[in-house]
Amino acid sequence: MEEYSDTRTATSQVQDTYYGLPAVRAPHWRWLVIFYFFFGGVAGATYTIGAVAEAVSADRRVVRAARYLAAAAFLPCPPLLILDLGRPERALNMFRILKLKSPMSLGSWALFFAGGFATLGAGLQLAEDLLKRDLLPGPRRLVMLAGVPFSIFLSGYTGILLAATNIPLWWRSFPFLSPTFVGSAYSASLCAITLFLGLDREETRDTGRRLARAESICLAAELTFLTTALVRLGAIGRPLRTGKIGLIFWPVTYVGGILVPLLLQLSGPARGKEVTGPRRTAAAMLPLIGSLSLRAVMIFAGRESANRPEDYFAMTSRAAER
Amino acid sequence: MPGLGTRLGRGGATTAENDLANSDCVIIMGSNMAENHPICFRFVMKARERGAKVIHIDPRFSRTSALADSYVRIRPGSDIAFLGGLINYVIQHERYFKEYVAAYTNAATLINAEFQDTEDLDGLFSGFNRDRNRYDHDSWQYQGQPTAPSPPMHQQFSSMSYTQRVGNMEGQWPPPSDPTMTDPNCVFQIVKRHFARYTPEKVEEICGVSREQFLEVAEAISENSGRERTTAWCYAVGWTQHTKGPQIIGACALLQLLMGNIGRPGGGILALRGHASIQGSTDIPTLFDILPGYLSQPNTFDEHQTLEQYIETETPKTGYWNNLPKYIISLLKAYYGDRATAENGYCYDLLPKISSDYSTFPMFLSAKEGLVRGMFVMGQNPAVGGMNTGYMREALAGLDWLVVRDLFEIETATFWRDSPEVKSGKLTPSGIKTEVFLMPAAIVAEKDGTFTNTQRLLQWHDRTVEPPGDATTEPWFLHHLHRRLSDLYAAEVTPQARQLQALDWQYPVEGPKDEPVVTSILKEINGYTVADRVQLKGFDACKDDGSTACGCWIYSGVYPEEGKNLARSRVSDDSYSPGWGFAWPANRRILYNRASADPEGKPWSERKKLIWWDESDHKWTGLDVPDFPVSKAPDTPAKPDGKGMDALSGTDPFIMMGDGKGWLFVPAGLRDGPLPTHYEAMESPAANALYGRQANPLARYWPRRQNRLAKHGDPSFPYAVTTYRLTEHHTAGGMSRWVPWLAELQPTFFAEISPRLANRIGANNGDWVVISTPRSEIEARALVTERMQPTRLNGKAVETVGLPYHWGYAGIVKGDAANDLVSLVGDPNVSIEEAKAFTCNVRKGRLRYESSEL
Amino acid sequence: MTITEDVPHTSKGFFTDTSVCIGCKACEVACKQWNQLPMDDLVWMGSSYDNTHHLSSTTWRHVSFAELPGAGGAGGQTNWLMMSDVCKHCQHAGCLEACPTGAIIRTEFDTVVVQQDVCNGCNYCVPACPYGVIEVNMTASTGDGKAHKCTLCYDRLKDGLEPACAKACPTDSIQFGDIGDLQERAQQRVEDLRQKGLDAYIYGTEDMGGGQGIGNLGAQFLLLDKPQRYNLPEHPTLPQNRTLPGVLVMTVTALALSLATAWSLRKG
Ligand SMILES: Nc1nc2c(c(=O)[nH]1)N[C@H]1C(S)=C(S)[C@@H](COP(=O)(O)OP(=O)(O)OC[C@H]3O[C@@H](n4cnc5c(=O)[nH]c(N)nc54)[C@H](O)[C@@H]3O)O[C@H]1N2
Ligand SMILES: Nc1nc2c(c(=O)[nH]1)N[C@H]1C(S)=C(S)[C@@H](COP(=O)(O)OP(=O)(O)OC[C@H]3O[C@@H](n4cnc5c(=O)[nH]c(N)nc54)[C@H](O)[C@@H]3O)O[C@H]1N2
Ligand code: SF4
Ligand code: SF4
Ligand code: SF4
Ligand code: SF4
Ligand code: SF4
Ligand SMILES: [Mo]
Repeated sequence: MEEYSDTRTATSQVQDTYYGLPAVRAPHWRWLVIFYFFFGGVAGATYTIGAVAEAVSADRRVVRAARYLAAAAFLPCPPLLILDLGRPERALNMFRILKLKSPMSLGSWALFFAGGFATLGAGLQLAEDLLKRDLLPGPRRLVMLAGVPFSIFLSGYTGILLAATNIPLWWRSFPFLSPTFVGSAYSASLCAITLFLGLDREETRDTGRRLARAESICLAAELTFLTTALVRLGAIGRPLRTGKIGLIFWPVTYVGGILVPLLLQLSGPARGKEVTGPRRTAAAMLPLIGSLSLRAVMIFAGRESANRPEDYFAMTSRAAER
Repeated sequence: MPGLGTRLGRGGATTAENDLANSDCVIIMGSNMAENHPICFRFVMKARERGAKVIHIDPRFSRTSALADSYVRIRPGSDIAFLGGLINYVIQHERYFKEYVAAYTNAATLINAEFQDTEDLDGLFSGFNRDRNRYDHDSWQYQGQPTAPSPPMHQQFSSMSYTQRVGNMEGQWPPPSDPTMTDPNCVFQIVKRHFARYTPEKVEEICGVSREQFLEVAEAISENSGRERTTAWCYAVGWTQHTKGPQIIGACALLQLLMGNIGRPGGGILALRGHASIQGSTDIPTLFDILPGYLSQPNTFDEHQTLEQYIETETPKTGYWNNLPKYIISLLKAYYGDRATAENGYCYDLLPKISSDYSTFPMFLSAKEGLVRGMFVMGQNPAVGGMNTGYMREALAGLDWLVVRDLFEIETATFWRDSPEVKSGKLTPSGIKTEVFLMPAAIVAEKDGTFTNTQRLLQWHDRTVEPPGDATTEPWFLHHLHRRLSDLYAAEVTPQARQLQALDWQYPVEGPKDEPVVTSILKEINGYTVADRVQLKGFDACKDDGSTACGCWIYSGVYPEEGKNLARSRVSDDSYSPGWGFAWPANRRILYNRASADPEGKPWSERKKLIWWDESDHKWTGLDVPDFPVSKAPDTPAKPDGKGMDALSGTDPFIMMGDGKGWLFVPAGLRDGPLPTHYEAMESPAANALYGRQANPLARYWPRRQNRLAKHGDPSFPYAVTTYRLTEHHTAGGMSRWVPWLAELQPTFFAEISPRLANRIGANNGDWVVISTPRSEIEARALVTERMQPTRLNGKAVETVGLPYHWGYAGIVKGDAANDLVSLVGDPNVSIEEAKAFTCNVRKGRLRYESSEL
Repeated sequence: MTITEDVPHTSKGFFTDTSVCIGCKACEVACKQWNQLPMDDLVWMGSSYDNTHHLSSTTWRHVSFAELPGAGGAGGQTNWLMMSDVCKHCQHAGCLEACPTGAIIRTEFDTVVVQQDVCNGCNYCVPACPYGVIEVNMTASTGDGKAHKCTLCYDRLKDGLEPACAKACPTDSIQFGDIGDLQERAQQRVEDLRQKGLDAYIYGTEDMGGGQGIGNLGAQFLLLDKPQRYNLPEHPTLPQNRTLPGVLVMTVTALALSLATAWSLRKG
């Protein structure tokens, strides 16, 4: 009998997967969720930074900016979330129960309370601005501190939410995904405060410097977590690193969103000079874009990852080290 | 099917599917049982769990093959060579069941010395009449019997009389025989000689089955037959749809008789039927040449002019069919009621007589040629399921009117609008004169009635919902058609009008649509006494004096008394479940079960006991209803001049046959020879390796320009092709392509081809390919799979293309109809088509690019 | 979770024995019919006889066909794998744990059921299922934006009927019953098949298919080849195992960065 060469058949495509069909399913999440992840993270981080600033009696303007910004960042969150639901009219069902093992349940409640505190904070600030005096300085500080646990949760739970799924890329990024998100939320939030206060203004120069220092620390942390995650991901990180998503991830998220602003911030002290002008502007804006893009590429890469049964099987094989 | 009928006595499956669980070896050949008979297959799985060996012999590796212990790939159309090889093997190696063969078959009977075999005449038997292309059967007869009247010309298209079919035993009784089975003229020696050249080597050469695989099957059936063990065979249309279909089945019957597997638990031949009640539609036939209960339809050629002549011609002297007068007269009483009297021959003269060929293909050809003017198509989709369907659709366009009763707007109803012929401009809607009436039919759940399934089992089904809208049942349609026609003809005095006026048609009606009460029909089928309308207990109660009426004698007993519908009964047990439904005849589940006991009446073995002679009670008893006179002792001798059952002895299990024996050799009843002989299909990639005759010499063929055949060896059509079903669809698609849940499972017409063939034509899995025969060209997606492999003949690989034939140009999912490719040819006995083996070409590409996206 | 008094309170489940599956898809169709699920998109994939591809919000039973090299040869069933897949009704179900609304419940039969009247379509159960079972139907035409999957015929169980798919299965490949009984039967069956030389094993135990927080599966399968060839993971985890550690790591990180920020912003 003649030999046949490599003709594609109904048979030969089967290797160690089932015709290459996905073994797990991705959620349908897209931009609504990405923006929610971004604003929620920023809202949580900003609130926390505001409370921290108040506690360490930093520049009042920082506190004021954080209060307004936290509320502003929170504001779009509920509509974004609700719009994304398959049945938006049932959004309130999120609050039927609390599930300690469900990041989404925890997150919903966190958002509820954090949002409440953020609104309260902004309300207070508005009252103070209008009345032009401090209101209840003692209890106020305590009340604002009470919102911190929720805000901390809000700043990073979305990373847990992703990691606590079976999408290989998200799962494999554990436990670094949530810290990366936290780092990126903090840096973005510091940038937002910086931009709110205005760059290079005489009266805020010192605060600006301090904010920049904090931003550098957060960016450095984010970079470390993300790089560790990438290393850990190995082959499973391909959907993130390569293809169209890779074309966004490397220039926009990794280099443009983290590395460049970090280097810009560090370039001043390195030269013993202050970072000013366009460099300063860039360093204060890039992390915001980076932070948004980080969430976008993670979501999209996760969707792609779900379509790679070989990745899922590699992770769930008995041999896989966990 | 004459394949079983001519050797065993009845055409139905000899066994019941639940008995397969008792088999030690199940061979499935000519059927894709798991896919097409999944419920029956359950019992094969059961047998397998109990340790039975399951073997599937098929050109394709299907879902059945996957579940079998062994799969044997065979070239389409070569089954007789394979079965002949087995017959030869068990005879040469003396693996047949000697006591059984000696006692219960005609192995010892002597055949006329003039008989000449295909071995002597290069593929022909003696008696071949070259001018008329048919056989004279004289030389095939038993010695000492009058020569059967040679079948006259007409017998191409009507059934043979029972005197011919079961043996005309008017001469020396019992017929001369040689109990040592060594006489060169005895059946056993003739069979032995006939199959001597069917060696494993020849099997390999013809079927493409390796010696090892062949021997594995041969050993499996040998080891699993005999006193202690039994082997069952299952077949369906993979065997029937050949120009030698009945002979393939006959070869299996011959083999099973040799192995002693008929009439015994776990043995037998399970003919797997098609549509839910296709068995029922031959019992109470939709065929043109038989009457209910397998009585011959009178014809104008035989001595059939009067009832006396009919009875004289049809009634054999010996065997059970000697009772035939009771059944025909009871049938006429059921048809014509009080109008049927002894004086007027029970209105026998009103029965239409066959004067020409009314089988399907000639009917369509006549439509094309303008002879047939109108047609009712009820529960059929010939535009897709017929043969050479392009031609058939053109034939439909030759009709004046066409009534289609169906569940959906099937292709047969839309051929004038959507067919490929219309798309190609060959037909134009405005040029078609046919007036098409599409009438919605009620589906099974919407009507009362019975199914008669594979195992001859009648099961009642209730109407669970009313038919929606205008949909009506078949009984409704026929009842009211009759009523309206009767009104139209009420005053007319013509023979046609008399046909209508004479009918005793008095079914009560019920419900808002005036539905006839279906139980009243079943009660008539069961039969009743004319005088006081008491239901008959069974066919034993039928009389030939006009005192009983019976619509179908073999069904008698299904409604044995008022209010007792046994088809409705649902009592099951772990054994033969006699309380579940009603199996004809007389609720016997395993036919010829007298053979489950040895000649003395004791079971052949404890393991395989079924019925036995109970000395103390002086009757046959056991797990099944005896298919034998209950009080006829095993030692009862045949009465030398006895008639009917008296002529048979207590050791003659095949009571329908004239001599009570299972026939290894068929002296009469088959047009194309007393023994199965390997011929190639009408279109075949191979030359006949055994005889000079390429194909069945008596095969029927209708020469038409659009019905050309490819010559064997034609390089334009180098591949074998076979057609078949998928479990996801049903036949011509009316019941599946319109059902979303089924349509989504197999949305696209595809051709299964081997990787080697795909490579040769440069096609990848999923590519479009064009398949062509001299009749037509169609397109399909290629499913390139290792499940398809070429078979090797004489060192040359022959590719087989596999085509599921379910698609057409209407429905939720559409595709080309595989039957556009098939030719109009027929086997000589039942005119069945050859859809299972023909030749084709395949090339990569498409015919039309605008058709379905899938 | 509601427990009706009059219903016996036992764990129900499936044992699907792929060694007797004939790939007839009766289960798939019976499920669609009983649950009145719509037809999926018509796609012909050329992957053997499987054109519905996977479990989805509209296909709750799915019969897979894996043609392996050598299909068509002597190996029979081990070269052409057929398997009827279904929701596993996990002892600890990822979908249930993930669901923030409590739409997914454990019933009195110990099965996992989605209450569509509670579900808000958040999609979180979808990636939380380790077997890719549950899906939110977002199809424009037929989609209701809610999560759907096998209910283990909750409505039929309530009425004392066996699930439609099991009822339809001609070869008893799908067996329904008390989980304890089924597990015994499954073990017996594996031993029988091993004696016949087949490499059979049970999928859905702590050691294979389940475990790692998931526990045993309420729907177990007898498989004849690597689980991956049936599109099943060998040893998945309950994703919510990562929630608590995740929260800890996150909190530590956030606290650290807050401290760093405080240190940067502190007065003086
Ligand atoms: N799901 C489903 N079930 C059905 C039907 C259906 O359409 N769908 N149809 C019903 C009807 S009407 C019928 S008649 C039965 C038919 O039941 P089957 O006879 O089982 O039907 P087919 O699939 O046509 O053919 C059976 C097998 O014959 C093989 N074959 C082809 N040529 C040859 C040959 O020359 N020799 C041998 N040995 N085998 C050959 C084919 O490869 C195929 O696997 O099924 C009934 N059941
Ligand atoms: N190539 C090839 N061709 C074949 C075969 C093959 O193996 N290969 N097999 C042949 C065989 S065995 C068969 S049986 C034929 C089948 O061929 P057909 O009988 O022509 O095809 P079906 O699709 O079964 O047609 C039955 C129709 O009856 C309708 N129907 C269902 N229930 C009812 C009812 O209660 N009342 C009415 N009035 N209509 C109803 C259905 O909708 C359907 O359209 O095909 C034959 N053709
Ligand atoms: S006849 Fe009916 S029950 Fe039997 S296998 Fe076919 S569809 Fe199923
Ligand atoms: S298999 Fe998936 S959908 Fe089913 S219970 Fe388990 S986690 Fe839920
Ligand atoms: S989609 Fe519905 S069932 Fe799934 S997690 Fe969200 S609310 Fe629960
Ligand atoms: S148990 Fe019911 S819902 Fe689940 S797959 Fe079977 S039929 Fe469908
Ligand atoms: S019904 Fe049974 S045999 Fe058929 S595919 Fe489903 S599990 Fe397999
Ligand atoms: Mo059929």
